[in-house]
Amino acid sequence: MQAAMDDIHLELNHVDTENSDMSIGGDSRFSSYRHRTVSLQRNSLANEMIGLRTMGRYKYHTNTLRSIRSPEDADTIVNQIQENVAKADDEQQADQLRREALRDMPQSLTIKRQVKQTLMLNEKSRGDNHSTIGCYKWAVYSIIILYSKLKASIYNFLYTFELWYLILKTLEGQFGSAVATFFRFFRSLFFLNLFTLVPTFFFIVLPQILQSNFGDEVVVDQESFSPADIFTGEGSLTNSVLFYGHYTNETIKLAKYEYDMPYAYLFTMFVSYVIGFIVLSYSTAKSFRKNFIETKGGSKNVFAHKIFCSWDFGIATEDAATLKSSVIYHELRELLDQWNSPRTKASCASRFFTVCTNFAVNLLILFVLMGIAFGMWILLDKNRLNDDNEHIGMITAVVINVTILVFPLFFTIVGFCEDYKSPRNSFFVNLTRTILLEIVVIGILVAYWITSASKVECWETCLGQEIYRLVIFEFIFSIVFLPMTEIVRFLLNKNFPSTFDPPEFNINRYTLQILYNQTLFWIGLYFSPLLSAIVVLKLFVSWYLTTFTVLHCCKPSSKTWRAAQTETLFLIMAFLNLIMVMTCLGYVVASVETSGCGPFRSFEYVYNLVKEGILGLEQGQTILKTIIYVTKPGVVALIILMMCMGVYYLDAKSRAQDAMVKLLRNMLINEAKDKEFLLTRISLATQGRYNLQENPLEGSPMRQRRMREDLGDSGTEVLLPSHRVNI
Amino acid sequence: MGQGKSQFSEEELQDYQDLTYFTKKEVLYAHQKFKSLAPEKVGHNKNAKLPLSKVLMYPELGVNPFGERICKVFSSGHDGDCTFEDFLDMMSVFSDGAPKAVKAEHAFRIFDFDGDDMLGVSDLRQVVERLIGSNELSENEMLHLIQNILEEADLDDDGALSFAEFEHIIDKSSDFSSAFRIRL
Repeated sequence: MQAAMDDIHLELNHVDTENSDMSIGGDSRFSSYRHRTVSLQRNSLANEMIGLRTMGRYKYHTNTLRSIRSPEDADTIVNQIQENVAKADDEQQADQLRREALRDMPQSLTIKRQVKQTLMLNEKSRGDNHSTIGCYKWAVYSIIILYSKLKASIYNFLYTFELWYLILKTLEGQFGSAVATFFRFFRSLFFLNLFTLVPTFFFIVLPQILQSNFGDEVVVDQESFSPADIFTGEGSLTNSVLFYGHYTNETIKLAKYEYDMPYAYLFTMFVSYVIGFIVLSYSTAKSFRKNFIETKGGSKNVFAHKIFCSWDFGIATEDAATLKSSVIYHELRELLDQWNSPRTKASCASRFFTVCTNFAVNLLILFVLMGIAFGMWILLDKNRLNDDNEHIGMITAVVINVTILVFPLFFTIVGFCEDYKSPRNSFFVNLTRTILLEIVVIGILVAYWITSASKVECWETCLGQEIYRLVIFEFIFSIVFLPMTEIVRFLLNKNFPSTFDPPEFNINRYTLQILYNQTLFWIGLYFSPLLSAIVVLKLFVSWYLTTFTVLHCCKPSSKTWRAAQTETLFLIMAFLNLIMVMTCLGYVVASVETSGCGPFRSFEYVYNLVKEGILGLEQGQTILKTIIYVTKPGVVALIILMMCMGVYYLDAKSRAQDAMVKLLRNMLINEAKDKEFLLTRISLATQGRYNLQENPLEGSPMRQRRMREDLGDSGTEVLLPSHRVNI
Repeated sequence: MGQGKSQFSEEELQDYQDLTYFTKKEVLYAHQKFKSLAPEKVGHNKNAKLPLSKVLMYPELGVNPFGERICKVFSSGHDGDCTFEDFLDMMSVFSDGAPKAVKAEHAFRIFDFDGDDMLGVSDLRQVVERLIGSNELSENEMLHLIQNILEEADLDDDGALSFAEFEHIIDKSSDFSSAFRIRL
């Protein structure tokens, strides 16, 4: 028994030393968590911890300053801060520290200003007492200060131009933060596309227009334009700046300036995709970290979360507030009911039945997807051969868009047959299926045109046209049908309020819509540079339409949306889509032969342009040999294997930390109960009723429990003394 | 915004920018909002003290079940009357820029109705009652609910939530930051 106890104490000491190591640089999240847990037990430790807490950032332990609330206590704060700042290396750092400490302090602004003034006065009185610092440090700090000033002024500047701020605020006030999150996602996609539009327009489209109009050889073979071309992208539009095939493979010469189109095209596209990739990966990682990693592990506080985190402080209208109240009420009732009724274990037969239905439904959906793929292939093949009908291209676009609109409904209906435990699960499953449908549709489209590259004159333009049509029709569908359904339902509800419910804003459907649109845009951009302008215009129009219908026709959803986590999910999906599109385009660049049109027609593969033109590599050079060696399957496999090992290592580490969290938590509980136990003993002893035969330590129920847990549950009963106190 | 500028000196704005999570422009915008609550009063004296009823005319605070409580926590006189500095402080804590720890600190004060620096049974009961508004839970259900909360979150088993325990809950919630937010 004693051995086991010693073990625990060692463990605790070990934790303490590790804490002090980690607080300076290492894993800030975990160490700060542990700090807090341990500090509950040990106030002395808490006092030591004032100062350094998170990575490189100084912070004052809230406990010390929390209790100060009146202006008279301002001096205490001043002293406290000065004491802490004294630990800083030099003046600039101290300054930075003071500012952050002041801002993060939980006191009122009036006190803060007082403290700031006192601090400034103290500074002045100290005068030239500063230690001189080295040139290097001085430079570093000036850069840091300059950077923070620059950041502040940029924010100041951006704030003036925050687009759609009022609409977003109104939406948040009326519909809560989940809907606002969707619209913020919408807005960021709009900006992302706008940033893509700028380079593609100025570096690809504009030079080409200049060349066609003022260049040495003016193109003359213009077909007459007919309005239907806008929808089909064919006819006079086939050979226009809209599509890949029109772009020249020559160096554009205007007056004395030269512009090499193939390089410009490739480089601009590369930069556009990479910018999109960086922005998305950064925001996805940030959101994922914030909403999944940092909040994982430890305890599950279902009730506490509902109580403390469920009121949406952004709500600003009476209706929304009443609705929110009743939603919270119903959720609490539900939770209580769940808690009260013990969970019945599903019988073997019913579980078997569930597994069977799941399997059958998945199989059905697999077949449906295969059927869609097969049907699309046939449709595309027929269209290509049947060239005399002008509008046949439109049929494919309409069919595909109807598929995208109708099949998610089918999936939802099928989903009802499956009996998912939580609505959350069924939501995820449904989402996955819909995304799969979109991937299948777009994948077949691209695959079809790549495989029939040799059969048409310019497959890149054909694919570009196909996607152009899809985007145009999706535009029509999304500005006509989606708002129409909402408006019709709204009118029905207005006229027959008893039979029809007003429409609720369906975040899920709208998000899928814009994700689909975004994927189409990414895949199409390479084949049709002007698509960015169309998509930006489309998002702009549909923003106003959607916000209008939402504000005027919809009512807030009666379901709770876990806004933060859903947002992460959407970001992840957008990111995955982009990765797939980039892989696909990488394949096109590296190993699909170019056709006789477009900027790269003088190269066999687009990749050759990079290899020969940009890098200037020739056969036999060491760099080329290295590149070829590194891209060999064996080496790639090795790299992947090493990455897998890395992931495994990190995963194991995180699991170990989870286990540590659990252990510390248990220790904390035990410690508290020990205290309670000893307090009762003290009161017994003071009243003279204490049984002196009893060994106080051995009797402590918590120590017994701790040992029991430490030794594992098996066989512990034998070790335990008979007088167990009810815990 | 020209009028707003004339009411603040550059140093004041710099001070506010340093001490809150706002930029200067946002500070001025916040002042506009504050002014719109009582134009004639604030027009004369930019730092006028507005009574609780006026501050509650701010839409987000007005419909919030803890609205009056929020004003009390942030008001420098602890009576709910707010000067502009109090209002700015409030908006800064509720803004996107404020870190979770700062938000948690103020949330704790808001929920701590009796001001004993612990969220006891009576505090929790009041929080629940305000949250569910006009709906009612039976006495039994309420007790059950509070008991469940304490069971989950009260790590040291003293029958109330201390700040550390509260912060621990908030730390593990991904929704708190997005919920505990008011846009200017």
